[in-house]
Amino acid sequence: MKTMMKSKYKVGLIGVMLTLSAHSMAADVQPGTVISAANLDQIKNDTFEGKTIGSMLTEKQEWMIREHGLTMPLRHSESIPKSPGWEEATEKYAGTVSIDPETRTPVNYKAGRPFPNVDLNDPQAGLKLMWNHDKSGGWPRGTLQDYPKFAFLFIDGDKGIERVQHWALIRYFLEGKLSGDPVEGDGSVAWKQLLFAHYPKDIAGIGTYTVRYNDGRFDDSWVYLRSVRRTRRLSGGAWSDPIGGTDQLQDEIDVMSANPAWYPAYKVLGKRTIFGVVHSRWPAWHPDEKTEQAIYPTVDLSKPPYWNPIDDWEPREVYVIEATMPEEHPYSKKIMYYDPDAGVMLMGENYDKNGELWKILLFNASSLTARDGGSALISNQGHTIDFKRRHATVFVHYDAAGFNTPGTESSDVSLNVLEAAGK
Amino acid sequence: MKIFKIKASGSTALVVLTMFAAGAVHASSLEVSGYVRQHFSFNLEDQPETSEDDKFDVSMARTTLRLDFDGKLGAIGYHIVTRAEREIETSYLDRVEDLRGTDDLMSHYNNEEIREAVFTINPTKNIAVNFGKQQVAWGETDFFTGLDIIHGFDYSWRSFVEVENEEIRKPLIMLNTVIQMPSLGGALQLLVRPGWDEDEDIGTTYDLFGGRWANQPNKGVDFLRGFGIKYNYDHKEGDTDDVTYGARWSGVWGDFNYSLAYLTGFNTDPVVNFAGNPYKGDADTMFAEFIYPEVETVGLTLSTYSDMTDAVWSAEFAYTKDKPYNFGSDFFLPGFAGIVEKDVLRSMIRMDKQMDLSGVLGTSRPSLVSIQVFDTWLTGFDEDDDIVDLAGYAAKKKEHSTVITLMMLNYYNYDRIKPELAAGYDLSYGGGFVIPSINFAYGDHWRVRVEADIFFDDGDTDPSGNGSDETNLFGYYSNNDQLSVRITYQF
Repeated sequence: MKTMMKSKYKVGLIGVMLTLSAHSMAADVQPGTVISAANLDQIKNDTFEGKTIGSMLTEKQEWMIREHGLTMPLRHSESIPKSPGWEEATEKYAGTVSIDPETRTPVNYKAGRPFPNVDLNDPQAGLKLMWNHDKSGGWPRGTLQDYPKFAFLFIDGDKGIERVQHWALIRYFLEGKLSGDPVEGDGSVAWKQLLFAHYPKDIAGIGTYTVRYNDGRFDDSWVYLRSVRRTRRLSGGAWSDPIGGTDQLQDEIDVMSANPAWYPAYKVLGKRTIFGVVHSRWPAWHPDEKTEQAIYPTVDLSKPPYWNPIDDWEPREVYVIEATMPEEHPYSKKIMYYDPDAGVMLMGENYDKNGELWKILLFNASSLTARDGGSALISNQGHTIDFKRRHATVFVHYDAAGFNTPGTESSDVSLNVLEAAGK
Repeated sequence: MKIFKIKASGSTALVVLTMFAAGAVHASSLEVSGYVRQHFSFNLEDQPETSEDDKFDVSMARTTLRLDFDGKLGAIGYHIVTRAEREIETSYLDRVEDLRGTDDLMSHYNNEEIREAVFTINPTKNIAVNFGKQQVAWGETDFFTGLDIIHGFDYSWRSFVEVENEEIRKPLIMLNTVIQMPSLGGALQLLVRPGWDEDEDIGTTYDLFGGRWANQPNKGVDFLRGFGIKYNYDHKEGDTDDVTYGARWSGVWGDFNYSLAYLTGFNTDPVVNFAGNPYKGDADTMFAEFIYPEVETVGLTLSTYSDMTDAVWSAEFAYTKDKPYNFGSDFFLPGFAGIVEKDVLRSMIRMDKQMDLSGVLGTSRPSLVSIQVFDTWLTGFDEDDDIVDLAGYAAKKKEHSTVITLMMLNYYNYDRIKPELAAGYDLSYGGGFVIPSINFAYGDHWRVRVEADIFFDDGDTDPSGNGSDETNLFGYYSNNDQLSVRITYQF
């Protein structure tokens, strides 16, 4: 009897221990915890902000953690501040915006988010979400992106940084203004952009000028070639070609920079929470530092594959959107993770014509105060990783970047300025 | 120790010093960049002018240092380009020098200069005033100049295509004002050249001193010294001290970029002015001289992207009134009989197309293919004018001189390896060229370019002078096939 009693206690004790053990396995992890290949199995069933770690990792994120050395320091999620007038503009103008069935472009868009209430059962839900991203995504709720200095890092997955290029960008928006008339001009132009190379010497002085239209036609673009001191028009059909010698295509800036109407179809695969970076460690580029790792502290240059971000990840609610590519595009499809609160794509997966994964894009955003006092989001660093070639292009921002610089006018971003700037 | 003698006119130096003095108090930024470049070329053919076999000999061993200074002095922006070149006299050049009978051949290749020193102020947001020694390129086309005639080019050390033609364009001292007019969708550019340039900065410079790029068969023939044919920069129709000027309106109209230009300037190619029949009655020679007469040119350019062809189409037209040409194919020295004027229309049509050849060539991104047709039309052409294509050769110029070119640029390994093929054919006189080349980029600093220049003539002139009546553009390059290797460390 005594023996039986003893056995009973033993079973009870083991049960309590198992319960405690199971409870400890599902514990809340704390901010600052770093998800890595070493601890992923241990903490996968733990929770963070009420959801399990495993449920917030996409299949490809988990694969990158396990196979490619990605680590994820965690931070609590935080909503992104909006510029004063943003929600009011959405409320004021969204009701009149519709999709032109011929061009698949928004009609009557002025400012704010064009489609604030997207019904996922709407056949145009994917297209509308893409236009929501296009009209607000990662871009200032105002007039201007002003990036006098950013860098492209060309990274070999086995050797590290191969080359570095320095560029400058200024993009002027002719719509979506939150003060005064929301649209400048006749409404045909969405934005105009100047992009200049500064380093190294053989590309310094090369510049491009691009005009994005609202009716879905291809961009107009020109290039200034310093070596011959001349401006040349560029092919409008080159929008899905690589940007120079980078891994990134022209339509992959901030994951998605094509006119949404250029892709034939979108499908919303669902809405879920994933880990993303919208409070990136600003700035990503410290050119005055001495060592490579100190110059680029948010890129893990200490070990192969040398392209992973060192940044803070937080739970973000996203739409998962699959885009079908046009026949002439190098990809067959893209899967993009659109964060509607931040207005940015957190991540993209791009598949080749055989349906195999080709590239993953990770774009880490930082929230900045614009020069007019409004709020803006900037891609602090962007990782375009080509897993077929084991190569990556990472762009990193410098702290001179800003938004809505006072005094800048539409005429400051023009073809003639491109020509005048070249010497 | 040799002290470098910087080639800069007193005017250029004065401009530089004055502008620096004006802004020195508020010096605010300076960026220095540049490169050190070692350039070798090798003969791929024997040169008939010399007695030895020159094939595979080193024809050029040239070291170049370029330093650029960019920045602001208070409200004044500046851009200064300096460059120095030194060459080793190869055994082949030594033989060419022996033919010349002098020991000063290398003085034509060794050089130091302030190539550009331009200062910019913006009196208003839409006005930029650029003053100083500078380059301004008009027109659409790079290698067969239509409207790119503000400056001459220096072909004396390498007489063919240089990829970066800013390196061979001869800068001039100018006041260059650009007025943006956003409401009109364009900009007005006004140029005034006050006539302060060094004489030799005017017009295109060819190898007339019998060096490695003298036209076949003139290696070792120094026209400037041996024949005493000097440049006359003070001719009454071509005085380099004269003020010249131009204006261009450029803008966008619908889907078209366009520009309209007017320019007074010097004929970029020199013409021979024979004392026996002097041009406009003026010659400062007992025999003959080279002059650059002033001409007036109006021009138009257009470019647009075509959805249908997925290509960019460009066109350029330049009409020059009273452009001077040498005549006299049967004269004792062909072309030396005198100068006749013709109104000339030069035109160019080009298609640039991105073609995805990755499936065929394994490229990492679409290739750039460019096809260009360039024509020179002597309006009012008269066979009896007996115009020669080039003084010194008896071949006659035709009413139309038309060249077609093809260029294809491919990209591999993230643009670190870029093979290129350029080819051209002279539709009027025969002959052509093929230039395969490849560029390598190593890291941020090292660049290597290997290039073969292969020429096909349709008639050339032998060293005794026979055949000059069949020698046109590509005949001048006969026996000049070259292999070029260029190694650059940039910073």
